[in-house]
Amino acid sequence: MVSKTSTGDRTSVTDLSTPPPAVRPRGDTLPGNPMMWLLIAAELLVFGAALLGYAGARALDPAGFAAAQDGLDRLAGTINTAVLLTSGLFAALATEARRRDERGRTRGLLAVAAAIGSIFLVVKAFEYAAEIAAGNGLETSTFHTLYFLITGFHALHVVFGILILGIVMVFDDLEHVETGTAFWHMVDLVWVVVFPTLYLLR
Amino acid sequence: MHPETRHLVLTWGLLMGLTLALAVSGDVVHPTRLGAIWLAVIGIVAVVKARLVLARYLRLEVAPGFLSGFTGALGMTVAVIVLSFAIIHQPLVRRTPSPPAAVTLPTPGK
Repeated sequence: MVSKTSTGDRTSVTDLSTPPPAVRPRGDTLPGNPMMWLLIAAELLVFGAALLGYAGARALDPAGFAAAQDGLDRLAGTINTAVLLTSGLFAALATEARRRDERGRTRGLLAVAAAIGSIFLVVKAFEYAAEIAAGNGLETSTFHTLYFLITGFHALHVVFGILILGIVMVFDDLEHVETGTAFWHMVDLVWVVVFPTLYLLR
Repeated sequence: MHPETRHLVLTWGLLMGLTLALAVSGDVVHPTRLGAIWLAVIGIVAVVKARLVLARYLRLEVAPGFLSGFTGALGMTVAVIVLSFAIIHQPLVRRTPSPPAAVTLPTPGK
């Protein structure tokens, strides 16, 4: 069945026997599993609240925070940023490979992402060891309490992220890979804001 | 190289460049206090990096409405934090040598 429409000097012919392609307006659909996006939003809210709390606590004791913050290893934090973002690249490449149905390559890329993610934990362990050796612990000062809580909570997410990458290496449906790597990118995203706030702003 | 792979590698290169810019603007090797302009630069670079991760790694570039929403929320959070640091600015804490001990001079006649 053909319908002919004329508007001014334009004439369009539409074949009504075939349904029109589903057109989704830009901006209304999230890629991947919506539940993962709910988790990402919730995690961002939690870390955002923690960082705002950090800024509030610092406003009450700027001198104490400045002195304590100068003890942090900013170079290690920078290296860890590069490590996480590089791991994120391999996770994103794994998702692309899975979309092209290259399953072996997907598993390899996920393994590389997880291995590089482990380097983050090693660097973080050295940082914590140096802080503890310097006599700084969870109860040393408000700065150290917040530093250990925020970075520790984030490191816990890195551990979970590595486990999830391992799981989706085995259960490698496209949706699983997309969901697992989305969690890993969320860990990236949080660190991109945590690092400058705790280490650089002063 | 597959176009999508090249796209992701370029994004990674950009993120590495911005990380280096952050390290320089944050003066990671010196315990200096930063001026308001550098604080603003750090905040802006952090938000740009977050947007890149959201758009390219998390593929929110296909959903511009959500990309703007997430970036806006993160941007506002970072802006409040940076503003609080700029307003309540703490001068560099320097270790100053302890003052010399007071010398008591003998009083004439005693």
